[in-house]
Amino acid sequence: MVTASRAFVCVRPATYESATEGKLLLSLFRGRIGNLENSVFALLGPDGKERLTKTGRSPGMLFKTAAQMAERLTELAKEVSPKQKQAFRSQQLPAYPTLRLALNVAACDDRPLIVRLGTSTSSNSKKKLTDALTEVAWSDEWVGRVHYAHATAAEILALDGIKDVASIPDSGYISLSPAPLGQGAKLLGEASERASKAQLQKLLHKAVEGHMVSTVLSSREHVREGKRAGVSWETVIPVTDPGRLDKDRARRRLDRDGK
Amino acid sequence: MIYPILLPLLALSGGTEVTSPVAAAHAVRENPSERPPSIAWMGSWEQAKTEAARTKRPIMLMSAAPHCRAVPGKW
Repeated sequence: MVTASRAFVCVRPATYESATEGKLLLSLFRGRIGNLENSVFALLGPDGKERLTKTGRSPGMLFKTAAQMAERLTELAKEVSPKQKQAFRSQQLPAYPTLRLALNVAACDDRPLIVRLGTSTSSNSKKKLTDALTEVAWSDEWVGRVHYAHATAAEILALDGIKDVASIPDSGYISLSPAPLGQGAKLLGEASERASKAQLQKLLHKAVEGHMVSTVLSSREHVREGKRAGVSWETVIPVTDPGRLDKDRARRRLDRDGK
Repeated sequence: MIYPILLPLLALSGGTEVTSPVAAAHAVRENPSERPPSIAWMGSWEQAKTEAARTKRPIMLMSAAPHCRAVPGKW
């Protein structure tokens, strides 16, 4: 599956975290009552519009096994872009739109988070596209292994687990180990703005080594833990999956929000 | 509900860390060489669309909610 995926641009939008993406996801797949469900799966052409297969809530609606899916991905990639050879490297850092979301996703995946620091998140994200960190992020050794975000020092210092740290530089790079509920982090390492590729690789190595992983909790255990800690995730747009809302409530919410 | 075939897609996986008492009870240091290669996800549609147009590659989209019953940290 991983090998087959390399011929695709793979994107994992967080459902309910952007109104624009919410509209796109809803245009790709609607639940039985016309709602946006927790997950959406689609294989699309390079224009982002052409549907290469049926869309659905999950690849399980299209493929019986992961092997079958991998085989179909390979066929589709050959049909769509036959001349491509391992061109999955991007000129963009695969960074999440916000630090809050990046920390949560890093917690979900149980991966360290590498943060590029800047005086403002928007100016930071406009940095030269082919910089050293981007090269490292797409290298064979590191592709898909850690997550990335842009943030300011003030945003980092506001995180639980970082508040006791004396200072965070205004620019450069830091690595964080996300807390299990994605609500805070532990600082693992730093590198300067002028860090070389080798120094950044060292930062990533230390991040992976320093990040503590644990036995995966069941969903029930995780939810119990979260409720006990009083942690609740506020989505950007309303959750409309019937798994969380009963159908009547979901329908009322859809009517109210005009979706 | 997480469908079984979703797991290899969502699960860059592993477990969790530190502050949670339950997680801390099981926390271990990762051996970096033990994790298999992962799908290289981009986190935003805009980024993916730009990249697909630039490289003429197809797009695999798999959205998911990074919370379980409003508790973050779990797909």
